[in-house]
Amino acid sequence: MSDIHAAIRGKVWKFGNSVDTNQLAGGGITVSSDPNENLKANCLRALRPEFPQQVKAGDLLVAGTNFGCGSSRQSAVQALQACGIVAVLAESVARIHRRNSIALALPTFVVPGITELVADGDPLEVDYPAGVVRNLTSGRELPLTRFPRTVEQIYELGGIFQVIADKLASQGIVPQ
Amino acid sequence: MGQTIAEKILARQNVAGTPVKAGDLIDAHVNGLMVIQWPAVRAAYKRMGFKNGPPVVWDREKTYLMLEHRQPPTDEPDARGNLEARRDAARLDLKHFYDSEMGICHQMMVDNGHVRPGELVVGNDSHTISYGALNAAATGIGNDEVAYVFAFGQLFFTVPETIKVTLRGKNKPYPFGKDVILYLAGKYGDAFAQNRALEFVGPLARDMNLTTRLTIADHAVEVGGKFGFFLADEKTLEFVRTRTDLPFQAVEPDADANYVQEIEVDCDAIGFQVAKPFRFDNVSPVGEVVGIKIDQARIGSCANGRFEDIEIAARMLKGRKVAPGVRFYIAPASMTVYRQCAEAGLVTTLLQAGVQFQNPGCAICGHQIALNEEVCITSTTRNYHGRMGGSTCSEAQIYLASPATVTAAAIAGRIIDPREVLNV
Ligand code: SF4
Repeated sequence: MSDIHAAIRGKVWKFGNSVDTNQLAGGGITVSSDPNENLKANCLRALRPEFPQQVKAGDLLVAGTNFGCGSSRQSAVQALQACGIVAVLAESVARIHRRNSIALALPTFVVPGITELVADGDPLEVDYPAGVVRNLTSGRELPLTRFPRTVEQIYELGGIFQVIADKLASQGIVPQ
Repeated sequence: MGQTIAEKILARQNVAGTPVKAGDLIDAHVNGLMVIQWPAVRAAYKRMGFKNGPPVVWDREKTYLMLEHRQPPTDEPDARGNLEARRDAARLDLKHFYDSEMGICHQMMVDNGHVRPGELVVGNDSHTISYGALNAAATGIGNDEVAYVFAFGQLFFTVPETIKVTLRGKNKPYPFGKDVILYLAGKYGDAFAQNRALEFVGPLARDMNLTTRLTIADHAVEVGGKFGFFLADEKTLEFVRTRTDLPFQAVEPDADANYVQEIEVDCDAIGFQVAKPFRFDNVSPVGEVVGIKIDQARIGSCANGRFEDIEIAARMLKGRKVAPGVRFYIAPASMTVYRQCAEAGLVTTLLQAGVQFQNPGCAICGHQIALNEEVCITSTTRNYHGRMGGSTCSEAQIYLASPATVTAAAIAGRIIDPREVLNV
């Protein structure tokens, strides 16, 4: 889980427009009895066959417009997390995928101009506290928009499941 | 300043009770929650420490739990998931639990009167948006968000801006709903309505039957939409009133409502449309793809698996046969639709023509395989890489089209202009 109140640095994997949730979590090969391993093995494989093998924990993903369009697959976010992706930056993000990224606390930023700012493989710094994303090779920057407080709180708690748990606890409902 | 449908419904449901306008972030009470993929929702509760499933439900009468994607189960994990759902539904005394019924959740929701005009409904599937055909503000959310709504009956929403789409035309038998929405996607792109609501109005929208409206509203998500509304007219009210006694209040936009974009479509001019691999907006008129040989044809899904979609296939196939070498799959969207087709004699006609007529459900839309060597033309919802088989079948060529265009291709063995076999 990434802390949005700290800067994140990582290497960029860059993708095009309209990367749909079938590409992120559409099934295909089975490599393990661990669902997360299978999610990883198929994630973005059809677009870049080397991605599942070469992606490393701490990498970042940059995409064009309409990232995560298609089915409302929460597993699309889980697949990126299984790959070790710690933040996503896209020109625009499809609505349900954006909501799922918040619900599962994968920092996902809409950054117009991001595909011009970085090339595949560039090192990037995502500094949410300072409100900027910076290409560490070129030094060029773009602003990051602040999330509404409701959304920040979900990120701080590590996901909406914790919001549910806290709210239930405040009503005296706790696990036995 | 007047209000759009989205603004009116979200204002009505606003927990804070204050007026709203596009751009506001609010907590809203929902009127209905459609739930599938129970094991995934349950997993959120497991993470919280509730090992035996959700401890509470916000409203036992407004939660619609369906096992349709896993019915009947074909492996033990699915069967166990269904068993847990059965036990949870009994423990929480859910009024609407669809256990052993095959079908597509969205069609079951409308068949059974669970969606009413003017309501705010959410569900963990992107095509929940289709209920907009009945004037509901309906939209897809994720599994963990469903876990939230399941307990509290609320969720946060940004009040969307709205695009008004005025549909004109003579309501000839064609183009069909699919052609209209494919045309819009082709012209404006697959994200033109991103985060926005669509209002489909105008003389042709009024003339359309509910099946056509449901196809268009269903596909509103394929152009990025958050809601896809039609107005509630006599047809809507009759459809809903024959299915439920519960009260509702339909919503119309104000005459001076604020739209971020206004689009006019002369539907008489657009003709038959086809989306080529691998995107919904990779659209051309059917004339540009004629001659492409096909291996599979499919009619079904929440977009185009209703009675009228299957009736046109039967009408076109009467006295004809599916081309040799083509597999033509048709799956009704629900058991209700299946029964309508059987009672009208469509099933017999289709079987005689060589169609593989299937059980209702989603399998036709995704899980049934199209290999990399194959070409499939389908009235289902998506043609992404690997939509029919996953990352190992990512080069299978999937074309999206209306049921008429699909049936014509199945008869000819290649994509043709459906007017060659449509007697209209
Ligand atoms: S028919 Fe297809 S698009 Fe519709 S709900 Fe089922 S799987 Fe999803």
